[in-house]
Amino acid sequence: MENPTRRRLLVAGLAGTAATALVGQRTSATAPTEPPSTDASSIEPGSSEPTSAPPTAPGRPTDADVTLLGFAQQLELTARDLYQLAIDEGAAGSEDRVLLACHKNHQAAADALSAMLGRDAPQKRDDALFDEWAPRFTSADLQEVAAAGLELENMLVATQIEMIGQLEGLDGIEALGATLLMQSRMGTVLAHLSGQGDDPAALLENSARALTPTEG
Amino acid sequence: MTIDPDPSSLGRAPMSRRGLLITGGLGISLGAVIAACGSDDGEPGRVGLAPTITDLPDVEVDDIVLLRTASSLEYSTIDLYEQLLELDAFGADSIPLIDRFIEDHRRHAAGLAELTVAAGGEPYECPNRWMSTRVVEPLLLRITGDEAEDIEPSDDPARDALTLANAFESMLGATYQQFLVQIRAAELRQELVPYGVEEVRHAAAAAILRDGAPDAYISPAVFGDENAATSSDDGVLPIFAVTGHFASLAPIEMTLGPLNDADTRFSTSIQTPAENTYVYRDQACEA
Repeated sequence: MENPTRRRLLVAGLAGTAATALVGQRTSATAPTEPPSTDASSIEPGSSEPTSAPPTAPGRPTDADVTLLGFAQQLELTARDLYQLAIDEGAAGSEDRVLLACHKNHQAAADALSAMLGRDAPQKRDDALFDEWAPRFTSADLQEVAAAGLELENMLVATQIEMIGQLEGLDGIEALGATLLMQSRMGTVLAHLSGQGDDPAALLENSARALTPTEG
Repeated sequence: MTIDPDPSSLGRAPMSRRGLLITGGLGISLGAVIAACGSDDGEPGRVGLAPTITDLPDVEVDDIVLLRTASSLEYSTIDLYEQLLELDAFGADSIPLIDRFIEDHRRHAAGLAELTVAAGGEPYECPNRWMSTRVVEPLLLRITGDEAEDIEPSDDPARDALTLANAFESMLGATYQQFLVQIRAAELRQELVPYGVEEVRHAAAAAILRDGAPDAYISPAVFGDENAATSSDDGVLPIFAVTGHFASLAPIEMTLGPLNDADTRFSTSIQTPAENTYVYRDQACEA
């Protein structure tokens, strides 16, 4: 039997690491080193010290946010497991790092949401969604898996954009923003890897439909 | 032996009548000036014909300012691409993609203008002045060279043009990411973030075009190897489509131009807009 204390320690450690990663990127954002934010002499004429209105949105996730962010975590864990499936099938080979990176990034996103939600985090994938997509990831053909990955990433990004429109707390909005923009970059890589490098639509566009929690 | 110093040799001559008059006159004059400068409200006094100080207007960074700023950055990026195309800096294989980027930025700018009007503001439909003078113009000199400034022209304009494309697209993507938490009207977030999605996909495509596949696909930083992510044999900072676990708001680093005597290249960075880059409500496009 597994020691529950050790498991709790591991979960806490992972959550802490994820939180540190997000805080780190937030810190770098608020402590820029280049002139635009520090060169006060270049403030345009007619402008004095600008004031930003206090944010009207809450920081921490509201009760409604917890449901949405929990669903987002399930999606991340589902994507992670789908890439693991393809890696186990041998699609990544010994050289390709793209599938490994996709796996790692979805794990990191799930950890960040876990850190934010604490005990409210579902910590499990969406089995129905996994089953729906699994046949496309059960392949040793890297191009085929990359094409499936592109569709999956586009769907996840569309879903997170939809969620950003519904979330109330800024912490959740910030976390999903940082996640979906990286997953968009992954989409371009997967499009290229799947042999669609000459197709600007595949490289640059996302016309996927968003999922809703009830579909998941 | 002791020496009794002569006081006059140390400049301490006894006060003469003339000295007393001079010192007294100076003291009275100084007192008069200080008295004239004083005021009842505790403000510093004024002497001569200096104009009266007027307070600068209060400016607020609201949604309209952020929308106008985003518009201006879209136009700055279009302007950068048009100048690079005019310089014939891009390789032939890049031009179709760059044309597509320009088309997308024009669409974004039009969308932002509509959002600005809907928010009750005046659209800002020209490049960001701060960005043009402080960033775009100096960076273009790294492609063309400038003898007066002792800047050598680029040894590989196609590489450097794609470096700039990657940097500007990444900066725009990060701008929309930053605005997600700065925008106050919740409904605007969902309108803006798809623009950011398109910008970072542009950035990823530019990275692959510059450094090739699979090298440019994934930054080693994703696997914890920060050193490999920032080093190369030829002094050119590598760029990657996937830069980490999460999108970052950190400055975007780049190298441009030829190797110098120290075997390094000019390096710089650009970053998301701050107060001095914002386009406030009272600012208008230059005629």
